[in-house]
Amino acid sequence: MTAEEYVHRVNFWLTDLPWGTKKALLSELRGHLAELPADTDLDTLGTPEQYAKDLRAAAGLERRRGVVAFLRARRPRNLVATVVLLAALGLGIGAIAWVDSYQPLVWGNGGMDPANVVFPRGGGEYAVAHKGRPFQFGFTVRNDGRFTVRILGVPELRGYPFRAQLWASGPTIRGGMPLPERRFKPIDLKPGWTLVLYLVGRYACTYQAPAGSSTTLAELPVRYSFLWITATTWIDLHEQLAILLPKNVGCPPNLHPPPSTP
Amino acid sequence: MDQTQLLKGVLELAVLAVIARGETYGYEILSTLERAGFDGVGDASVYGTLRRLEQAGHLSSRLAASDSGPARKYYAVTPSGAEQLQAGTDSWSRINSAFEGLVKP
Repeated sequence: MTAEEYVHRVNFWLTDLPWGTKKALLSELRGHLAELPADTDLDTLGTPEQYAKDLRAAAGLERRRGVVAFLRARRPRNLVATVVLLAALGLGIGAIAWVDSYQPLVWGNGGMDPANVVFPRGGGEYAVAHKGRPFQFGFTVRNDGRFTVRILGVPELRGYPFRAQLWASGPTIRGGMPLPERRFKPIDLKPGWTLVLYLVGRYACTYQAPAGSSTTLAELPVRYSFLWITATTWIDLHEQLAILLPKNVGCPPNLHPPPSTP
Repeated sequence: MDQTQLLKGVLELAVLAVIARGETYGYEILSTLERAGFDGVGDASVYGTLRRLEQAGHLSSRLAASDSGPARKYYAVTPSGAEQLQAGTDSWSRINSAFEGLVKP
């Protein structure tokens, strides 16, 4: 056994001691072994286990157990590095979870083309889907968070008696609903700003439905991205909009049945 | 009868006595003890005793560069160590006298 191997094995039997104490004892052992004649048989020192046992007994160093002893036996530099690493890992996991759940978009306001919306007594609003008649529904999406998100659009709406394209105006820091300015393209929405989106199209039979039946527009999906996540959020309309087929005009049975509610 | 325990019992005094002659280091202390007849005491016991005496304040130490390898740790007796040695020597003399009175006819 070489001198360094002997020291290494004694180190094993002193592993529970505080790091500084162990370092001092092993340093002295190294110095002692370096003083010995080159041909010295290290067996004369006793086995590493016995050496460690005698050293403890003479120095009054009892065997230590428990979490505190374990921590004190670690090299301080390694303990700090471990704590920093665990803290960074925790922060990283927390940050990832926060980003994954970040959703700052809220409903601003909305409205139909006034010519189409009916406000009956008793509240609510509805529009009658006369086939071929122009359809326009505008709504604002506001960024109520602290970070910019990118608005990617509105996924295809299914189960409604209209075909529409997505238009936009803004973003704007002021309120109001300016008319649609352009076909929609993905755009960044800064904190506090609003984007006005429009569904512009015509009423059409997109699925089979009897005359007088209705469907309700209660929420709208908006697709957005923030850092590495892309998600769709459903924004509740403050006022649900019912879209009715005329009393005497339905959609023919050779069309697809209405899709199931998502 | 195992003499090892007897040797270990006086080891602390013996180590203080060697160092009291003058500042010295571990290997030299072991060699001096061996030459004086303390050859049954293990190296680990001596180094452990040195640590305990230093922790108790009876020894002071300093590191000095060595030609033959790692730095040497030199020990010196402190005033409390000198008192400890004197008290121990007095006790030893008393015990030795009492023992001689028992074994001699």
